[in-house]
Amino acid sequence: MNRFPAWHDWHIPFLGPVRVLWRDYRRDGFGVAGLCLFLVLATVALFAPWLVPYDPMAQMPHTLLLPPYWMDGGVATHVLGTDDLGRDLLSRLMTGARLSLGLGLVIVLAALVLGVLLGALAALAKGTLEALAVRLMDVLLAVPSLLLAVIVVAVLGPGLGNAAVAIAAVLVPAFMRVTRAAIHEEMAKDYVTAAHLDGANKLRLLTRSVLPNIVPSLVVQTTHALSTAILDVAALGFLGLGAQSPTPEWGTILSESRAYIQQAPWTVTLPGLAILAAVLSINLIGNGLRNALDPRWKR
Amino acid sequence: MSLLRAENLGKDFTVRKGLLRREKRVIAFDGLNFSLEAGQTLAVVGESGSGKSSLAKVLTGIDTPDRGRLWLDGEDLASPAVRKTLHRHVRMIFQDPYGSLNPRVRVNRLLEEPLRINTDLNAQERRQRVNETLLKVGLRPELADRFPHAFSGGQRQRIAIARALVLEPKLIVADEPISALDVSVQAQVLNLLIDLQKQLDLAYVFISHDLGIVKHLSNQVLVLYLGRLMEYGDTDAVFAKPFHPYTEALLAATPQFRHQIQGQHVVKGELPSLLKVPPGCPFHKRCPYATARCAEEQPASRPLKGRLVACHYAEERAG
Repeated sequence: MNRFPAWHDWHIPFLGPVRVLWRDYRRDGFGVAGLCLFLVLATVALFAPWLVPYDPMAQMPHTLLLPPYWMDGGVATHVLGTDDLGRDLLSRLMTGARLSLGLGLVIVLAALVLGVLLGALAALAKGTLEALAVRLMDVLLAVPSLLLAVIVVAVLGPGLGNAAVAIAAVLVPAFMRVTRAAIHEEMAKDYVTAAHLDGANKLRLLTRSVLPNIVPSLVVQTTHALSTAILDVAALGFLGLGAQSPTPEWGTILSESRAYIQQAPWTVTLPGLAILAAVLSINLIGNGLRNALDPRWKR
Repeated sequence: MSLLRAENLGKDFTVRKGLLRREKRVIAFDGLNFSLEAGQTLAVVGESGSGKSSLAKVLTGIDTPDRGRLWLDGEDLASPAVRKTLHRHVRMIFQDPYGSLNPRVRVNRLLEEPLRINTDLNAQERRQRVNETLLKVGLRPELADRFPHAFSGGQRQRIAIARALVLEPKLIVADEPISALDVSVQAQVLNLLIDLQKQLDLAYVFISHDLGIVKHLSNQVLVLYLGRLMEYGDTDAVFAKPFHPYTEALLAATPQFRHQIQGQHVVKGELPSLLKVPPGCPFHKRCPYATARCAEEQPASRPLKGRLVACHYAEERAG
């Protein structure tokens, strides 16, 4: 008997899941643009201390409220102009990228770990405990995240660290819900039953079989949470509840310059544009990832 | 001694209905008696909702039976110690090879997993066993570092068969293992199952609604209707002369066997819901031979000429 019939083509093109993802992601032009923008921002954030032309804290009394280079009166030495204390705006925004992106990432990772753990527990819980966890998530999700963060900061006191804790705490329920829903969906599939029949215990079932399969949902939720986190860090900074002056955080810079919006609109516009760029790039990436990961969107 | 024996086996499940979500117990199957010898095949047939898949879940140990007893190799599966090792001896093949293979696990690890959990083999021995098993099902071991999506439906089902074989089981429960495959590969997979049975002295519980395949492959057949045993006996005898009107109706509905059936054989109406099983004989509302007695009294399944039949008029029909 011929063990390998002719249909057994062994030159099937083979791609691992990451390469399949990239192949599908690449098709979406907006997603690629978002990724490029994000990479630029991330590079700036990563290397800001070496890239900045000036110390972001240094006040230069002879160059107050200097307009950007391309406007009347602008000089090439301060490409994006200066603020009311003569600090170089480009240097402040570049340093601010570290806070917004870096802190945003840390916040989201913390929320991710906690949310997945609690979500997995909620998924495995039965009866009253499960109902309780689900209702609690619903209540927390019904309150706008920024409002909830403001409440947490009001309890903990203002400051960048407390703001970060508050935002992370606020992001946890969303991760919990996504995790729980995804685990529930996967648990009903045959391959989980098959793993159960292999003799796998609950923990092994969860970590080896189910978790790798909910990664797509988590990736999408993570990008969503990252843009929320960046926006909320800036919002809390703007409200004076997060980073405090003179920390060069985008929201704080925006709020400091508010008084000069008539005389020096660039001091308000540029940090606003920075926030927009960061959030937009991440949302574009999130959208692209969702399309690439969701089989319904595939060709 | 039989490899597998069931006595009055029954399983319920609960459904919650309505605003108050009141629990209602529904019988998935009840009063099943059958036995299976090593190296033989028992086919379980019936319409969807007849309890076939629930039976598979109980036989593989995913669910525990609510009534009756089950023995594997003479050991009572009610004992927790026996149940613990059940999954090594009884393996399952699922209907849909696209859903039953974890898409994020490479095939070699997928096949290694049961060995990792259930045996003391070291990494090299495990790899060797996996490769041997892949050869047995006609797949190249070189391909095993790929993810399941790189394989076709037929190849995936071969992988699923390999996963069932890798622990060297005595019994494989196959829940419609070829009905989700392309017609062109169904025969290949079926022949593979038959070859493996001969080579390895495997017993199959083969769940199917395709009577042609059942006739071709099984030694015994168990006909279920709404979870109740209608007829159980040697496949050839049952197919040659069905004693139960339901078996007759099933055969009449299959073009291949239609010519064997004489008389009125058109089944009326739809399969009733498991929530509203008719009183009396569960089949009486659709049975062309039903009498007043059938609507009142549920026929017990009783031995008749080497079979079990649950029909009031089985003796007359057997002639």
